Amino acid sequence: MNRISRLAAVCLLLSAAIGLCVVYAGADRWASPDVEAIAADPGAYDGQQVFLFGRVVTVDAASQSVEIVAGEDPERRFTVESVPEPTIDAVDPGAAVQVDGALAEESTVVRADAVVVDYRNGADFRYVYAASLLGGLLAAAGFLWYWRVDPRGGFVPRGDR
Amino acid sequence: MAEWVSHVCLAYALFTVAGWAVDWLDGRWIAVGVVGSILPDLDRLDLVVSDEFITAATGVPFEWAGINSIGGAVVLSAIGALLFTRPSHQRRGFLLLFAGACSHLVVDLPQRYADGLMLTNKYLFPLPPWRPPTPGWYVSADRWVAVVAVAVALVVFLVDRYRSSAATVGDQ
Repeated sequence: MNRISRLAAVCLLLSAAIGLCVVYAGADRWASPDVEAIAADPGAYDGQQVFLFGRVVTVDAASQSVEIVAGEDPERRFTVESVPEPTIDAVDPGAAVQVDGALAEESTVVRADAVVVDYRNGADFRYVYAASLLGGLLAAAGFLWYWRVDPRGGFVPRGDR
Repeated sequence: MAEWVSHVCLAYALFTVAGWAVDWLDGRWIAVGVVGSILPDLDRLDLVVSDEFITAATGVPFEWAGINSIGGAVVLSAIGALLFTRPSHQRRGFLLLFAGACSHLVVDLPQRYADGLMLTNKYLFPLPPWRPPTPGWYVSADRWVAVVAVAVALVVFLVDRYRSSAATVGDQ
């Protein structure tokens, strides 16, 4: 395969990757309603089970509830009730959580059956980003130890390793 | 997602052990497999150019998550493979990048989810969105995952060194 046809194939595959992202965005791969559907008709979903990924805005230990933003609209907030005490103690505003539960009160409330905390606070986010940066550098260093970039385009093995 | 130290260490261990059975799977191909193990997380480009920005700018719904999937693994591995110059390198490159990307998806599977099911509806895309129960072993920010992954990689590294030195002695 010469350089031109390789370049053409890479462009084609990049279009395919973009195509995947477009088709994925249009596909409904969840059993429960998504935030956009709920926002369009909040009253219609009371009593329905939902699975939401959200960011914690406020924590109310007294009522064992947290307020979260789920989806793209920062104004679209849900009050998550019946949050277990250890979870309430663990999360700060900004935490990333998942909630499974039933919608109530015009889809402003989720009565939680289960809450999973992905990131409790800023330190958790910093840890994952720092570890990922380190892992990325390790992978790149390992690769460039064995391979070099050919000036004419493409990776070729370093002969001495 | 697990962080990349875990993905990279587990992929290194996997391909190093596989290399004990496959002659050509040496350091340089292990390095390619390790790069493959972070390909699905290229959906983190969302942090640079967000889904919402692209959707608003183009008018077409767009989610980077589409490439954090089996379909994305095929396409991204094929792109990576074409960056090698020789045809034999392209074939092996694809194989290792794809295997690395699959290792990433498998490592991400048993995470904890609030509804008790795996996120296979995302990772299997464009295959049907089947969701079996998850064992719920960890969440992204659990530190012990990286500790275990580094320990596994270290043990494999030491065994690999021992095997190489034993083979060298055996040759003499």
